[in-house]
Amino acid sequence: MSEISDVEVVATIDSLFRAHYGRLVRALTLACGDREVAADAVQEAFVKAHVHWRKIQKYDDPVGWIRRVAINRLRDDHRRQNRKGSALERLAGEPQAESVEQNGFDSDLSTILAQLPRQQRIAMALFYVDELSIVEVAAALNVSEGAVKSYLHQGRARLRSVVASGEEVLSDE
Amino acid sequence: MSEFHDPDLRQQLGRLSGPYPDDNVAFAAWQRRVGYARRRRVVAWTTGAAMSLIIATVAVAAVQSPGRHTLVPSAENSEITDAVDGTEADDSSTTEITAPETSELTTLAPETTPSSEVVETSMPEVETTAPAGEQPSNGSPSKGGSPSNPASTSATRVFHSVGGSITVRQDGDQLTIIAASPSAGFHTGDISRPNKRVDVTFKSANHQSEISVKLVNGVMKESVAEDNEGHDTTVPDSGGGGGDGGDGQGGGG
Repeated sequence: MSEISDVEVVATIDSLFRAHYGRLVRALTLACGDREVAADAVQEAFVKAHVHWRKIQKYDDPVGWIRRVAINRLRDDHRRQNRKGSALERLAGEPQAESVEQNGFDSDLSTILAQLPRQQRIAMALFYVDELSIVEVAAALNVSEGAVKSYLHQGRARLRSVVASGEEVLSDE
Repeated sequence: MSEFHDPDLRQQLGRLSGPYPDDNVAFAAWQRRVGYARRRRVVAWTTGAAMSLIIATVAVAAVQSPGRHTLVPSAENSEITDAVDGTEADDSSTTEITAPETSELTTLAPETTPSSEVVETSMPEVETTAPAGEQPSNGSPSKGGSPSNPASTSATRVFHSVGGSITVRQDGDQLTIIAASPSAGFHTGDISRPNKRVDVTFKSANHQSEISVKLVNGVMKESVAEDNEGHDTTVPDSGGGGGDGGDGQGGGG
């Protein structure tokens, strides 16, 4: 079997990129609260996919591999930020909340979202924004399907009240 | 329908996650990053290869360091070893071979090996040296010359003739033939060792060269006789100008 050329690799990744990049960036933006960080993580994952494409093309789900790489990159960034934040907290003497950029109703939703555990937040984002199935979310997070269902149940229960109130506000207007 | 199906929540979270990014812009950025990653890999590979080459070079140099070598005579130089008056040389730069006690030289190589005749000596102490820079230049008779240090009692010189060249070492008043190298088509003929003198003859089908070296006032003087089909040409003693000169080892002995 002949080796695929670099042009073919780029063409293949191009199609994957256009099909999944936007959804993944939006999901990870919701998970981390920073669009630039999310876009950077997804870009880095696609770069690694290009480097290792001859290996990962044999996988059943190459996009799943890219998604996991992006999530891991996001976790690494989060750990770095935590260390940095801890240092700043020690200097300032008070804890810092995770980044919340929206105002009003979005602010309430973002606040509650930011208070969710990170794993739960990522599960919510992948399920509701990236529109993955529970099986795919479990594979992306490397957890069981039951764990994903638990994350979704708890996260939905906490966000649902805000969403309901937001619907009331929007209907009043 | 999944129990987690919630269009309202999906809509709100979708709105919170922002609009879709521009795929073309993002893909162009991705291509730039791929190019950058590729250049980094090339630089890393090149650096690794260069480091490997340097390490390999150093390793080879260490293995081939002179301290790990023993002096072995070259096979290309036909070696003749002799000791005039049966004396024992004490030059540490030579490889000494102990041979049975006989006094006659034996010519081993016939004419078919023009440039690699080997004549083993039968002297008690046999010396074999292959001094660097003293390779004989075949076909040019010696022009005579003085040793590099006439006042010394130890010197090694090379004398040339058409038929070949010889390397002779002087230790005090003793002469030792270190090597005799016949030219192409020649073979080593007679070797005689009268007192304080050595005579070596190189022969071919139509030419004969004879190199005689003797001590005159403690200095080696050579005489080269060329006999080409009856035309005898003798180069007289050059008065200290023959050979390639000494090796500058004066003061020893």
